[in-house]
Amino acid sequence: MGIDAGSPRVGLAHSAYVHQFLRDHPDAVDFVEMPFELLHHDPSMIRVGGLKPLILHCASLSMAGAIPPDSSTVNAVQRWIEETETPWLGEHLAFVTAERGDLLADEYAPGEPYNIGYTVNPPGNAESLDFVLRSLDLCDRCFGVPVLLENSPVYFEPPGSTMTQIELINEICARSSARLLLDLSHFYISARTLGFDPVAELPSLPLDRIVEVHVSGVEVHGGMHLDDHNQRAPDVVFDMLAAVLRRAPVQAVTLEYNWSMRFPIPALLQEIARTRQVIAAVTAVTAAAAETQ
Amino acid sequence: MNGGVQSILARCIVDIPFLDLLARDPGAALQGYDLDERTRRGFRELDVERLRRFAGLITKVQNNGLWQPIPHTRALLNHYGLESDVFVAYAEVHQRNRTTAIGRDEQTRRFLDFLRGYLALRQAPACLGVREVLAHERVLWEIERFVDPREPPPAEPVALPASAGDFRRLVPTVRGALRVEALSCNPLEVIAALEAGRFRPGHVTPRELSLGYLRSEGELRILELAPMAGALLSHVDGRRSLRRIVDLAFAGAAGRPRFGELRAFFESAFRQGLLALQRPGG
Repeated sequence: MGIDAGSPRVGLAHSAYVHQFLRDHPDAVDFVEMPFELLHHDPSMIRVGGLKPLILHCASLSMAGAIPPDSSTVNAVQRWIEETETPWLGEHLAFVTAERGDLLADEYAPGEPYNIGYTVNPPGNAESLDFVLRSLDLCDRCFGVPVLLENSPVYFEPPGSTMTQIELINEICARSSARLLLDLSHFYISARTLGFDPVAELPSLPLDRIVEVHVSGVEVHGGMHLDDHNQRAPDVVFDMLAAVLRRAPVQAVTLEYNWSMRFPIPALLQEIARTRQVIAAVTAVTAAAAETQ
Repeated sequence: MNGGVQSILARCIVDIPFLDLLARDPGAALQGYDLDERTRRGFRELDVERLRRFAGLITKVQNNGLWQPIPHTRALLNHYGLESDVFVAYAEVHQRNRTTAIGRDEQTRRFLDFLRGYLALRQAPACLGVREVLAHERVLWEIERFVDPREPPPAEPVALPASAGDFRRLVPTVRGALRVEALSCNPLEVIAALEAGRFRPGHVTPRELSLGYLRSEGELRILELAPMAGALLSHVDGRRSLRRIVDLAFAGAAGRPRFGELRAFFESAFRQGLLALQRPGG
C-alpha cells in the first residue's frame, strides 16, 4: 500500500478488539493504523500486520516542540517504519515534551523535561513554524517515508499565538513538501472552540496535501467539545468527509474508535459501511463529472 | 518564547496545583517565566477551566485500561454524565501515579479507591446505583485477581457440641473465598437493566441488602444474604470464634438474635458446606 491514485481505503485505528475483529470480519477494512508507542512497548503486536497492511501512527516526536525529537525515539520510529512497511508516518502537529527549567527539576530525574504523554496544540507563531520545519527536515533525513502532519484539536487558543492553526498549516505547506493527515473530528472541535463553520472553512486548508483522514467521536461536556474515540462520529464529520473527498487526494480514511475494548461491533460495522457509502457516493459523482467534461 | 509557553502549558497538565495557582493568581504562577507582555496577557486571559478539562481528557485517555474490570460502572457514569468530571478530579492523583513505577493492579486499586471516595461525596439522585455497581465489580475484580484459587482442604467433620459454651468457641472457616458487601440497592438488577438498554434511575429500587460472593470449587456464586447472615459472615476470617463473630456483628446494635437462632444459622451454613467449623487450635 503506497501513496497512489485510486479510491481511498478504509481502516481502523488499532485497539485491543481489532485482532479478533479482523478474524471475524476479514473483508471489513483494508488496513490497520498502528501506534508506534504500542509496537515499541509490545513488539509482538506486529502480528496484526499478518492480517492487514499497517499504517504507522506516532505521538512521540513532538514535532512542534521547543525540544527537538530525541535521537533514540527517532531511531525507534525508523525501525518500526521498516518493520511495518508503512507507506507513511502519521504524526501530530503538536508538542509532547517541554523544558522544566532548573528550579523545577525533577529531583529523581534532573534534566528531564516535562513529558505530557499526550499531544498538545502549539502556539500559532513563527517559532512553532520553525520548530515544525526543523522536525520535518529531520524526519526527511531519517525516514524513508513521508510524514503526514495531523491537526491537533484546539481546546483553547495557546498564549503567544499570532496566527491560527489553519494559517500555521498553510505556512508549513508553503515552506515544505509536508503532507497532511486531516483529523475531521479535531477540526470540528477546533471550529466549535474558535467559533467558525467547519464545513465552510475546509477549503482554507491546503487540501491538495491531504493524504489521510481520521474519523472519530466528539463529546460535549460543560459546553466544551472534546475528542472521544469511544463514541460514533457526529453527522457533521461525515459531511466534512464528503467535502474533503471531493477536493483532496485522500488515500486512506481511518476510523479511530480505539478508546474502549468494548466498542460495540455492530456500531463499528455501521460506521465502516457509512464511510464506504460516502466514498462511493463521492467517487460516483466525480466519475460522472469527469465523463461530462 | 515558545519554550516558556510550552513549559507553562505542560506544567498545568502535569502539576495540577500549579494549574490551580494559575487560575487563582496568574501573576504569581507566571513569575520567573520569560514571556513578553502579550503572551503574559494571553495567560491571564486564558480560560483555565478549559485547560483543566483538557488535563481531565488526557487523564481519561491515559487510564483507558482501568475500565476493564468495571465496564458497567463506566456505563453508569456515562449515563449520569460524570465520566469526564471523574477524570478532571482524578488528574492530580494520576500525575502523582505517573511519577512512580506502579503496576496495573496497583493503578487500578488506586483508581477504584478514588472513585469510591468521589462517589461518596455525591448525592444519590445524581448517581443512583453507581456506588453499588462499583462495589460489585470491584469485588469480582479482587476475587478474580487476588484470591488464591486453591480451595482449603475439607475440614474434618466435627460433631457439633450440644453445649452453648462449646459451640460458641468453635472457629468457622469459609470453604472457599467469601466476600460480603452491604449495599443500598441490588447492583445485579442495575446491570441487567444496563445490558438490556433499559436503565433508568427511576427504576432503581433503594433497599438495604447484603450480597455474598462465594468462590468455591472453581465457581463463583453470588448469594443474596439475609441481613443477619450478611452481618455474621462478613466477620468470618478463619481465626475468630463464633462468640467473637457474634459480638462484632452486633456491636452497637439495640438487640441481638437469640442463641438458638444464631446456632441454627451456623449449623445450616455448616450442613450446606459453606462453612467448616473447627475446635479452637484444631
